[in-house]
Amino acid sequence: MRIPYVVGRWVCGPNHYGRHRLIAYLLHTPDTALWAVGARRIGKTSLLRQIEQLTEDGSGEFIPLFWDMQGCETSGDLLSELYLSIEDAGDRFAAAGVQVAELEGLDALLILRRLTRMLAARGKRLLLLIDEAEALIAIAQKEAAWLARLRRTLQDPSLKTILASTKLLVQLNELTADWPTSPFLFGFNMVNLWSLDPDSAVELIEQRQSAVQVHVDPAVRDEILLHTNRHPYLIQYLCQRLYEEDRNGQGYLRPPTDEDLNPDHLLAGFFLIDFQQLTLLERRILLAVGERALTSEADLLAQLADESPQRIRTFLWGLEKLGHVRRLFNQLSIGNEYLRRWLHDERERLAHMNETLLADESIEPLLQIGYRREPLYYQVEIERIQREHASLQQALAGSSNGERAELLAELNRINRQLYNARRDYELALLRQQP
Amino acid sequence: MRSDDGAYWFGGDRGLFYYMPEHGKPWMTLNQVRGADFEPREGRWRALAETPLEVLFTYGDLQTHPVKLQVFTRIVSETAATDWQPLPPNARSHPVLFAAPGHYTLEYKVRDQALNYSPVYTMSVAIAPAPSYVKLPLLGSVEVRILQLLILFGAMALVGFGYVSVEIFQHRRRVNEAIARGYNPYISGEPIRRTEMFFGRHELLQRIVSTLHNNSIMIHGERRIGKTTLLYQLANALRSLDDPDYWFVALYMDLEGTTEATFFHFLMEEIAHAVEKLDDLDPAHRTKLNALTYHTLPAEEYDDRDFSRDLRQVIEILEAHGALHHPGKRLRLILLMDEMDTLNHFNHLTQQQLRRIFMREFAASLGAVVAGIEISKEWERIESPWFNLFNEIAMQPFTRQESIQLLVEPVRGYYIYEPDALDFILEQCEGRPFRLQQYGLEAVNEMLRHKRRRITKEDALAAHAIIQLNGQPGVESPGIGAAALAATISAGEVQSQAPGGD
Repeated sequence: MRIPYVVGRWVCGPNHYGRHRLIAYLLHTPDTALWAVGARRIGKTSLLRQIEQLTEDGSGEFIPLFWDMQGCETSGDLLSELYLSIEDAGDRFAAAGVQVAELEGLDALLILRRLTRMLAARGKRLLLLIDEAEALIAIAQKEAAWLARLRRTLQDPSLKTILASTKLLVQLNELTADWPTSPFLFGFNMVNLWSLDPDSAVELIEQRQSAVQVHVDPAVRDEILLHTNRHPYLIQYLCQRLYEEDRNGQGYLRPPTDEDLNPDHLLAGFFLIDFQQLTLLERRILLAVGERALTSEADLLAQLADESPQRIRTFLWGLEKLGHVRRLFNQLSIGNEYLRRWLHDERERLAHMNETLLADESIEPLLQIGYRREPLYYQVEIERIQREHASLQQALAGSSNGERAELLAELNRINRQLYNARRDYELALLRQQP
Repeated sequence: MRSDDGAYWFGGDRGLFYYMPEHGKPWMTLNQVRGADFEPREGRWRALAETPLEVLFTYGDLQTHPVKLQVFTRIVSETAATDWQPLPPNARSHPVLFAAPGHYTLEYKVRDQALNYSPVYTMSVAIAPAPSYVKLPLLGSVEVRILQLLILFGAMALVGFGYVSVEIFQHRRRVNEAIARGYNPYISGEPIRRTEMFFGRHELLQRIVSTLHNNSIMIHGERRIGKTTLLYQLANALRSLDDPDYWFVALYMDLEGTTEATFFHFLMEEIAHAVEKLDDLDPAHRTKLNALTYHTLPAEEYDDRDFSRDLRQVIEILEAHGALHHPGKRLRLILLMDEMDTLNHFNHLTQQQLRRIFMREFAASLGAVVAGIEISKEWERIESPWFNLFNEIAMQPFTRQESIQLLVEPVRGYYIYEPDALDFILEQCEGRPFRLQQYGLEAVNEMLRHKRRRITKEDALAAHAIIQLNGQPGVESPGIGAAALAATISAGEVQSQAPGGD
């Protein structure tokens, strides 16, 4: 027996499901610097690794470089990691005409600038994929000037930077608020990383991209979707528990039991870390929503009457975007069943946790911008998809028989993306209404 | 004189007589053959040679009284036919006996007083050879084939009896020898290395093996719950696993006593040492292995990045070796890290560095199973916690069934647990494999002291007393030596100490 679900390590290629619209946006947006923000275990590293794999053959505009910053406490550490990453991707750069050895001994910023120039000279653009960017917070405390130079480098239009982190990275703005230039994250376009789209979630459950697929009864599948709210880690976590094989070796998922939906020690640890990263108002909202299985927005506003409704809506939007809260039957509910149970069990302790890593005021401006700009984000996305749609239709009109099937499949995929983007746009517009 | 209408005129003393002959034919029905079986598919009767048969029939005629009817018969064989023979008057059956096997046709016809003959009625009979019989004293006449079977079964029974007798004898001898040399298979305090002595966790082991293709596992459980044993057995299972797509290289390492400063050096030393021992390792790979940085740097100076570079080399070596010796299979290097609690005392930065290594692209083929009592989930850093690479599995105590298996299987064929002894031990141990082994060890020792092969409740109580005593401060180390100590304790004394447990 081989359990096909991957729980813990990052995935890419056939093991990576969904995020097509987000990846297309990240690769095609004219923005130079992007910040993909998501809670723990949502798949930030996998997103970056998938982008790396999609672009590593060098046939397109970008040559990717994955830079893992975890465990780095100084610019020297960052340099060492950067150089190790370039060594790891040595073949890729060699194919683009870059000799890695030429970069040895240089400062990290210089390496990035030189690499960017060398690639630009060959008509390529460096795609810098930075993981665990929270490490920059420690650097900001010790080497603010170096970090300011790094910001300039990362926002250089000759390269594209995608940072991935939890929202704790907002601390960088607090730490760099007194810079004569803009705070660090100013200029980074923020995108949220949350659950998979429904089609991709089903594909993941049934392992449709795998050579051997898993048989899943529709009722079991719907139950998994409901309990996990399409959270990629939780889907795999639960599916791994449910996976069985019949006598012929055909994998299937048994129906989940109540016990399967209890968070284990590890999951509880992740939820606690996520909770610690919420601001006080976010915690209040989360605990208020968690008091009942379903809560109406009106009830929530009444419960938190000491806060302005607009402020609550803004923070609620942020909680929804990160998957802590969801809407079920047009009411508010906790993001997934595991989190709901954990909140229920830990309620007393959590209600008295007053120490925070992030102040409401730090996150609020970002949330306000995100909340306000959400319809615009979808509008831009819809325009991009429509352009892609038109170009595909054009290609289809002039295609030969051999290409038609493939083009039609692609057109079908784009149509679904367009449908989903329009639906999200409408929801975002609805949310803007008072 | 015959007239034109076919009648006859007879002249005599008393006048002239007119006689009109009757032309109706008699009929006959062949009913059955006693002593033979009818085979409907073949439409014939089957019988054995030299077996008396009796053909039953009925017959009649419109004009002639049955008594006046005459039945004739003959037997037609495959080569010849006998003459028609009359049967006795008024016969209702025909006894017949075939001496030789073959296919026969019995033919019958009936004649009435007007000399009209019925059609010939036939009956096919297949005669099979008659079995041979021998006369045996007491049994009388016995068919030869049955006699052969009897002889065969008798011989088999004799051989079986002999075998069972030898087995019983050998088993008794083995048991006696086992008692004489104090055979005691229980292992107390040491992890179980031999697969045949591993009980109760096979399902868990299989589940972990099934998960390791794509994942890493974190096992936690109380002290002496069997974590180390599970890691040993995982190593065995992975080494012997014939997976169609993956080549597993499993390396066990015990982190106990490892210092933070030398942690990465220790890891690489263990990995490189295990890779060196691979069969048929190419000399070029051996050279490459000898050139790893860990050979040249002092352990305290060897950091995570040195480890990362060396690991990249090791994985390249293993992939090249795998391509040669396990073609078409993907490498899966599994580090089985015991006493992972050691990391609890390390700086979180070191833990983060370990995670970073696992997250590298070349480390896609790297997996781990880490085991500890309570691996700390405390995390003060702002990056992802190191433990989020893992799936967590809590090791639970044995179920009752697993506990019985652990107690009974090692001594099966040698010693027998009496039910109340088993119940007592199970109650005391609460599914803890270490304690089950302890109780098994001491109970068997006690039983051996009495030169018995049945483990009684008294043995279990004595084991309990010894274990209790060994648990007290100041008492000598546990084990077989303690059995001598227990020898001085009478069963009554032991029983008085038993309540309360440990």
